[in-house]
Amino acid sequence: MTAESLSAPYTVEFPFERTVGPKIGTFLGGLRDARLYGVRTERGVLCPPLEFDPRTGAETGALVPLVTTGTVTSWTWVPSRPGDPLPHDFAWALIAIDGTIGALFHAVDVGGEFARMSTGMRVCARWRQDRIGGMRDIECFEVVP
Amino acid sequence: MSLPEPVTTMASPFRMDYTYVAGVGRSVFLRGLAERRLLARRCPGCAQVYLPPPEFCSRCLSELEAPFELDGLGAVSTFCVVNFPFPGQTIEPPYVVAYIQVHGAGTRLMHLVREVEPERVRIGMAVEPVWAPDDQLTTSLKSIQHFRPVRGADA
Amino acid sequence: MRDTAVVSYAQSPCLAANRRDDMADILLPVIRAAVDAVGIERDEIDFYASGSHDFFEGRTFAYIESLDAVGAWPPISESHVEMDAAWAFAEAWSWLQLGQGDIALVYGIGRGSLPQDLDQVMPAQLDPYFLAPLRPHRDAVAGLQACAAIDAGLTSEQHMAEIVSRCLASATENPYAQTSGQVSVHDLLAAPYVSSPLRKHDVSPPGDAAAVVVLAAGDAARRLTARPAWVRAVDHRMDTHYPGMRDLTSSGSTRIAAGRAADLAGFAAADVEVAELHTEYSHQEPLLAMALGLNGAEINPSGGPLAGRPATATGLVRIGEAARQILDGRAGRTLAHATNGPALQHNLVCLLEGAA
Repeated sequence: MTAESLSAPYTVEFPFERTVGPKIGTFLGGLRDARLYGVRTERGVLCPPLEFDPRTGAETGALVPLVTTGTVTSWTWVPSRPGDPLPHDFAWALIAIDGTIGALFHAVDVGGEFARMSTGMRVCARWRQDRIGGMRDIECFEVVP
Repeated sequence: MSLPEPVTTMASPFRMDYTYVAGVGRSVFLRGLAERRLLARRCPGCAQVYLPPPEFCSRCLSELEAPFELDGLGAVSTFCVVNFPFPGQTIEPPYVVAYIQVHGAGTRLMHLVREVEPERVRIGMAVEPVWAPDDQLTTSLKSIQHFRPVRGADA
Repeated sequence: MRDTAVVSYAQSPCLAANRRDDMADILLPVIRAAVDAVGIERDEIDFYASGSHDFFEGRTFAYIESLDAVGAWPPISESHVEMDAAWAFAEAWSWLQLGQGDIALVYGIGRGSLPQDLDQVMPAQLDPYFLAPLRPHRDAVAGLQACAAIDAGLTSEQHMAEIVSRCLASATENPYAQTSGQVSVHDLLAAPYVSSPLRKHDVSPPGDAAAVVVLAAGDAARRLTARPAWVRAVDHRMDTHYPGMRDLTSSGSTRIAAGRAADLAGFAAADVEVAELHTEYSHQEPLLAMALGLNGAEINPSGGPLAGRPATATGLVRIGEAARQILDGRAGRTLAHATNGPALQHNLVCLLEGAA
């Protein structure tokens, strides 16, 4: 009797569909139309929008259109993998969209040049051509020209 | 400016690749299958016979004794008829999935019952394993293609 | 509050990838060691609580296999959390507080090695609408937190490397550590980034292990061990899910949990001699020390998670290690911290004390 264990590779897949709720649904509809929305709270406008303010638990208010520019508040440089938003190395970043509180998580493209990334840099959204109403409708953010 | 038409649902798929580690005890059983052998193990404490056997008795927590071979003849302990199609299904419904009480084992083995009309399957029906051809034997329960009624036995 | 104590603790060695044992085989010797150390029989254990996660095991209801190491026949009273087993400990402690029994066994079992690519698995713990579809790298949210912590002046890459160097040196005394050694800060800083400003050593190494804690109440605890580690408080709080809505540099949930635990215990994090912190990343040590309000406590003398992070057992290991300090008579008051979720989203604080 050998004391070695057998092992084998296998794959698990779940093709889930998820309901998104009215506010996130409208936000995602906006992305499909290449427009960015936030949601009003007593504290200011949240982007991305939530149904309830995480600070107070109060129901959030109306959706409001936003500009697509913002400021990088923190970032992390990563190697590009298959399926990533960009074919070269890039940063994941938190981006405070102008006129909002909080920050949006997305990719920032600086052409693969680490030295061009910095906290406080100004960026704007680059839209994908074929949009479906999801976060990847924003291809990434890029340096404001 | 009017608001966009809301999205109602989004795709949220998972795909994850894993490594299955069978464990030492279960590997003994799986290696046996590749040699057309059904290997069981007995607990020295409570005499329970496990098929498939892990490494330890899940009641006494004692290490099981050395493996021994069973011939695979057994009886349908309970069963269901699968009529429902699902993604990844490899057998066309309807088909029978059963717990087989292999003679000499204290636990039951789940497998297919074929070579019989589903409506003729009964609890207590005598069954035997149908082993895969030599070139398809592997360290997997697929080495047994299915169980079938024992010919001439009283169902 | 009912006096309840950790009376025994055991764990298996942290392995980067255990390719020999199934879940029950990893767990069984650890349960035996913890139970034998206090000389109790299985039928004396009134309650079992465990923590593991199907997304690490790769199967639904995977933890059922671990019950084969418990002896669940005749049927037992048991419960399971789909998260770090520190939360199973919180449940067992609450259960004993309710007077449902006198002895509880808590186990954590996790195998970080079974997923072939944690980048496929870790996004599943993120917000499903805004984050998971982007499929961030496994360490990306922590990388943002480290960047913010450095920008806020709470730490630096040099400081983070010093923490790693100290932890790996401490781990040379820990036979269960996955990695350990004397490494220079200079050498650590020469390594490339995995998710800047995090280098490989800043990320606790995932792996496989089991941990077991035996809890007992009142006279049962006094009967079972000479120096019970009395659990004076357990509290846990969580921050909101989306990292862009949090101040990543100040763990508000840790701060609240520590304050509530201090109210319960009658002493605070500032009063403990040893703190075992669930630092999944090196930069989280100063962040947690500040949020907890530690005051000169020795941090992670076991080496901590930076020397080994068995999935869903790491938080329970912190409680076990903090208790061991008291069981062995090395400290009078200790603290254990555990975390779940991305970048310290959900935090548990446990205060332990020696004298009855």
